[in-house]
Amino acid sequence: MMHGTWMNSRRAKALAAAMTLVAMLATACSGSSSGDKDKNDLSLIVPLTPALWDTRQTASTLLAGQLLVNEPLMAYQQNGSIVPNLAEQVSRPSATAYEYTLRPGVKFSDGTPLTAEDVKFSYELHSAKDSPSYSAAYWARVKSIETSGDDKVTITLMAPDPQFQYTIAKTGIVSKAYYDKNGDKVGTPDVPNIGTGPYAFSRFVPQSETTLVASPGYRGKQPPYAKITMKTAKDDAARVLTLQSGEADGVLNAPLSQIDSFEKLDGFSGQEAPDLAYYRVNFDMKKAPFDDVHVRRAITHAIDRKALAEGVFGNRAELAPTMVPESIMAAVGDAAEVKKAYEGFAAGLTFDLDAARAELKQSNSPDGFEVEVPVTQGDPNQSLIVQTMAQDLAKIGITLNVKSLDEQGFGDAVYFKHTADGLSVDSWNGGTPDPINIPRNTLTPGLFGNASQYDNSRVNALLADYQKKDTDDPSRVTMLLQALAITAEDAAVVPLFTPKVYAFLADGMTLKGFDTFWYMTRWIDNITTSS
Amino acid sequence: MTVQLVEPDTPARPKLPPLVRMIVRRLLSASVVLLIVTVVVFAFIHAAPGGPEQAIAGREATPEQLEAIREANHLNDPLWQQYARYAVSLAHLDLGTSYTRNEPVATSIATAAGVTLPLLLATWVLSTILGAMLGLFTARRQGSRADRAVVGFTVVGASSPVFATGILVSYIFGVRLGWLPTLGVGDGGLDTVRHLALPVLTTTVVLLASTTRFARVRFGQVLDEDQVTFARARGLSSQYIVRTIVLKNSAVQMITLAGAVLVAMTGGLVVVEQVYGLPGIGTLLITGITMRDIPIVQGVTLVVAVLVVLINLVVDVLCFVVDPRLRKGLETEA
Repeated sequence: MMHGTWMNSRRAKALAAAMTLVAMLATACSGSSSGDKDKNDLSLIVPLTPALWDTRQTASTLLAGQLLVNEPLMAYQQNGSIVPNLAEQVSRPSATAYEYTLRPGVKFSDGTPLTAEDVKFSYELHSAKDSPSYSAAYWARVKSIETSGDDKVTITLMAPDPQFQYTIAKTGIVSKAYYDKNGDKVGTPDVPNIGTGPYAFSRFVPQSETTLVASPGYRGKQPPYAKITMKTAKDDAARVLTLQSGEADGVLNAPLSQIDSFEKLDGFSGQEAPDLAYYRVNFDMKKAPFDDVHVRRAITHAIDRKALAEGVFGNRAELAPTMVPESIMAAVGDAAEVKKAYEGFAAGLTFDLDAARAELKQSNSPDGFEVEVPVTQGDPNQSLIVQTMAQDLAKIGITLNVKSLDEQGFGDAVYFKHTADGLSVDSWNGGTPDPINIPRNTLTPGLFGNASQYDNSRVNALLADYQKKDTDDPSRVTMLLQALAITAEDAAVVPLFTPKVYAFLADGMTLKGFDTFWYMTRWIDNITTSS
Repeated sequence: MTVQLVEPDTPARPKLPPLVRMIVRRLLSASVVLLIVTVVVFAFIHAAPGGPEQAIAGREATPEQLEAIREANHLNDPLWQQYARYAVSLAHLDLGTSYTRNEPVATSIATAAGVTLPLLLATWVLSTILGAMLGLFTARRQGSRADRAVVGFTVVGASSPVFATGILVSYIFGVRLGWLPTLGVGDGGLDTVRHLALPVLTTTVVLLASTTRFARVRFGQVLDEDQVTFARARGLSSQYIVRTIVLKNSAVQMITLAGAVLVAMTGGLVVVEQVYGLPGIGTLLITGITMRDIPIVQGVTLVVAVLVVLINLVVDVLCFVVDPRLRKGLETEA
């Protein structure tokens, strides 16, 4: 009897445990993998989530979230123009001064009014000498930031700067009082940043995901989605599976290495646009044998750029005759002049192994040499490019050995300490739509983007003169083309190709006007749904 | 004449119980191990190329900006001074402030542990209990179809890399069946439980391979012993034999296995966290290394080291508690 009771009790316990387990599983599995997603919610996979939502620590695609919360004074539009946003009007008392008058009645999401002091404080976060800002290099050209009254801010530059208008359009405005109260904690998950924008930070997991919710007190038109979730997938397969499962409505700036996979997904459509980023081969001109122009030219002629572009990117990249895309240059200069110059650049980059051998014979290393080429694990295309290049370079006696480094190690070896052997391949992104952006950042002596340590006084002077011209002066393009021609003659870098930028959204959804600078616009208003 | 020296009576010092002495000894040696860990990690992170200032300021940083960031974080000081500063703050139980997150490292770790600990504990409990159950089941049916099926499953589980299992599990339950989410940690509460379900399942499938095989072997050994044969000959029930002979005689090995699994998981959940986009301890460490966030790397490695030491200590203590032979050995040593 006792035995039977014990057995019954044991069975009852087992049954209870099994039922509990089933109930737990059922609860866990209740609903769909996409949860109870409202049609007013938008869920996107984005390339990066910051460690901190601080305007100093957001650039490039991270601005997509930041600028929806912390609006800029002036806003970048899809057509490339810059229009007043928090500023009601802007005037130029001189070539180096900008005077902004603030729009009246603008409030932060905590209800406090926006003042000129907030604007000054927001900019000084970037211009301070020890600022950790990603944009510090742009703000370093600012001489002073002055306020007058509650609604006027005057910024004086050290010299004219055609990129300054974009710097203003990329810099979100924060609340001084909120920073005074919370100090360095602002932007952390516990102390979310506040702004005047259509959204407010609701939830933030550093380097992982962010949720924005529509700000109820926003002054303007309410945004189309009540909630935006932006997640970062660190694994390629996870990115695809998340789209397939319906958890995300799309992926913005999709990794190039995964475009094939995304194109095969049912229920998603892709959009593409030319990118203002280009792959290049850098020669450290302060290191032998790359201090020899004949070596640099030999390598230039021994790179089959067309085969590289097709092999590594399929049809997803265009050959780059120089470091600035022709369309960007033609948009601000004389199209015929630009076209002619670009044809000349392309002609100098022909794949010709005989010409390469002839150049190498004239060099100090006529029999070739061996060099270690660093590549970063963060960009798998680099390794593919170097390994493909190595096959042709071996034919003229140059041996490339790939060395894989993490991103910081690569940065140290190529940009900061120049500890690599002298040959490297990288991709450099444009920070603003102005054509000077990439040339200035990659050809100016002392700047880290100048991986070649290039220093040509004529080029330096042309770039400096460009800066002094008004943005509507077409002669500045002539100067820039001259600088690029000299750079090509010196074979300082080998421009390879400009990849495209991609977005994939659920069928029926479109990001209108998607281009390389979509994140600087108020992009959320441009997402349309056909159904 | 012989003088006999008489030693003065000294009060006998009260002797600590052997188990307590063992714990004290282990804690002392553990503190030395942890000290070595801090030195080694400090040396490695500073020897790695690239500094945190590059990660903080980005590729368009100015040289002046980088220098200012280095100065602000005392990165230009001699290494021994930096280590001394770190050691002093550790002595005050302060793990420092993250360079990239602007929050105390302890806060970052606590937040990440909120993701990793439930994942770790759920996986650990499931893999050890299910492993023991399957091990016992197969040990009692060695050579049968069921045994071969379970062993086959464990071979597949053991042979598959974690990320491959993760992708398969995500595809089945996230994409095909659409039951569970495949990315992120959710909004807390039940949503987080749903988000952790697939990572737990993935890790459990992988770990079941080793726990089941280990348990099968150990239970099989005990089942082959004479005492089991005699017990059966005396007509004792199978359940009695399992409870009083098999489980008791396998307890030390199973506790050791459970400890080993927990230790392995403490550092081994990185891949699962990456596959499922979970902001746990592993992800925190990886991003800390990538961003050269020295305080984060030092803090996470130290906490993981402390956990490993504590787990091993608890395992040893439990083994002494359940096995009188080990206690006897300890008393003899004393």
